[in-house]
Amino acid sequence: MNFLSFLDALSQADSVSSISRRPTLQQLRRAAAALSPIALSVAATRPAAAQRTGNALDALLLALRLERLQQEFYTRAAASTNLASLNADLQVLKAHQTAHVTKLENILRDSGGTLPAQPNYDFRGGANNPGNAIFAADVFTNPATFLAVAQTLEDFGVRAYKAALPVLANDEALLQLVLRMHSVEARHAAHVRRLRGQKAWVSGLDTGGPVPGKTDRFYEGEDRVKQFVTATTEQDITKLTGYDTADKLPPITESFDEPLTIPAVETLLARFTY
Amino acid sequence: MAEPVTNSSFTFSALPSRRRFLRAAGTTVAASLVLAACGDDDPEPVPTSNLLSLGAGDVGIMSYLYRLKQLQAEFYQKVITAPPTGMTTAELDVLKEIALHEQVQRDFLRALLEQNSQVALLLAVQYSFASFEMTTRQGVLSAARQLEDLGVAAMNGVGNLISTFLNLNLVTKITSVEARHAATVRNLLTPGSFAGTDVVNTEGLDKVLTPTEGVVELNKFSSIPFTAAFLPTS
Repeated sequence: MNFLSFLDALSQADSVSSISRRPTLQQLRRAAAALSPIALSVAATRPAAAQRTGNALDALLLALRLERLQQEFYTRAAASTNLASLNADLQVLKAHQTAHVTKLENILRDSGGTLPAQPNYDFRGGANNPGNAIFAADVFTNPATFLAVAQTLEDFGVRAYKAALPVLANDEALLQLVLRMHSVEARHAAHVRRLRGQKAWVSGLDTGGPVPGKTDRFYEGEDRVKQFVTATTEQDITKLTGYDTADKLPPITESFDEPLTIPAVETLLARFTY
Repeated sequence: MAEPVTNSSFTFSALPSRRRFLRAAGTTVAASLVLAACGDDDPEPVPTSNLLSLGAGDVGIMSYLYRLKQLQAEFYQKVITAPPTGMTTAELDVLKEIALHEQVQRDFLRALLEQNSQVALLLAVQYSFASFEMTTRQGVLSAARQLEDLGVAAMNGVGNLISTFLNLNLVTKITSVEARHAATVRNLLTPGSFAGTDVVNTEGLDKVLTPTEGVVELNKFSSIPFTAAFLPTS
């Protein structure tokens, strides 16, 4: 979507700048420039103080799309007799995603937004085109397929939240709320990975993910070894004393979960909806 | 491991017991030992009158996270050096991997503080794990659970205090790894407890601690109590 790409460009441009929690005139102009159609309708009907303006609204809508996808995924799974052996876990996962959806919907509703309609879902990851499917068709009848999709969605969720979080940085309460959802996603990801017999953390590019050749894009960039230490300097961790040997490379990449860009989140989300 | 840091004003061994404020070059509060603000409103005498400041601003928050990582790295190192009874090789291997992550994150944060001229914040402290049962599997996993859940809650409590996008990004990158650790050790201790109701509430939200609350937990282990008094509060 254009406005989200625009936002992403903004957040990239802003990546080394300070977070101002008191909106400046310039920020308000940016927010206005980035207003989604929903935000525009909000602006027409609500007092300014109650609104979630452009950036934050779009980030919340992105989070809602992700959480609704996961909620539907675990709801269908919990109803499947073929996945009965996983039921205790499925109830926990479903409850959390449902709570997140409720929370996000309430925030959006309370700030005058109109909730978007639910899309149709394709949990094979083919956007309703079987020829493009990432996963086998037995998602809800074969535990192995189900867990492969679950791992992909949870690891993806962790990275997607990281894309949305900076956009919420100007609102302290909202930022903290979404941070607390984000760490719950990471707990889920770890658990699902362990159920598949994987390490709980993502090592390098995760050898392409659960379906190498088809899930690689969900793990792109996870092998990063450089992190910013100042606004202009990146530290290559492999260059730190004691970390220059090959055996340290996996733990270095495992120690940081990397964000996806907002356009990448959009693209990957679209694989599961139509 | 952190090396003892001296600055021009003092060394750790020369820690003064009397009221004394030290100001490190370039920053007013970095690594200063400040007198405990335990005046009239605190009826209990505080045994140690000196507090080690975590610093101010974003670097102060990174120094707080550095101390959490230092605590965790040292904990896992002790476990690996003297594994508890009853722990399987597979379980110990998981803890060894976590130990490496804690070391990477600690040493990266150390490099970050150094490159921001905050060497004074790296003053060496000792951590004591006497309150943990370190010789049994149950004791070690319970301790690991406590420290990892602490890390998650502490990190969830600093995002809204950070002033740059880069630093916010950095914190989110390590927060989710911390949550992966927490889920993993929780499952080792009690299968299926990866996101138990003691940490994730009915709204699906993980715990959160302010730096002031987190420092109370850190100080249960540290040889010198820290203070978050100069960290941002909003």
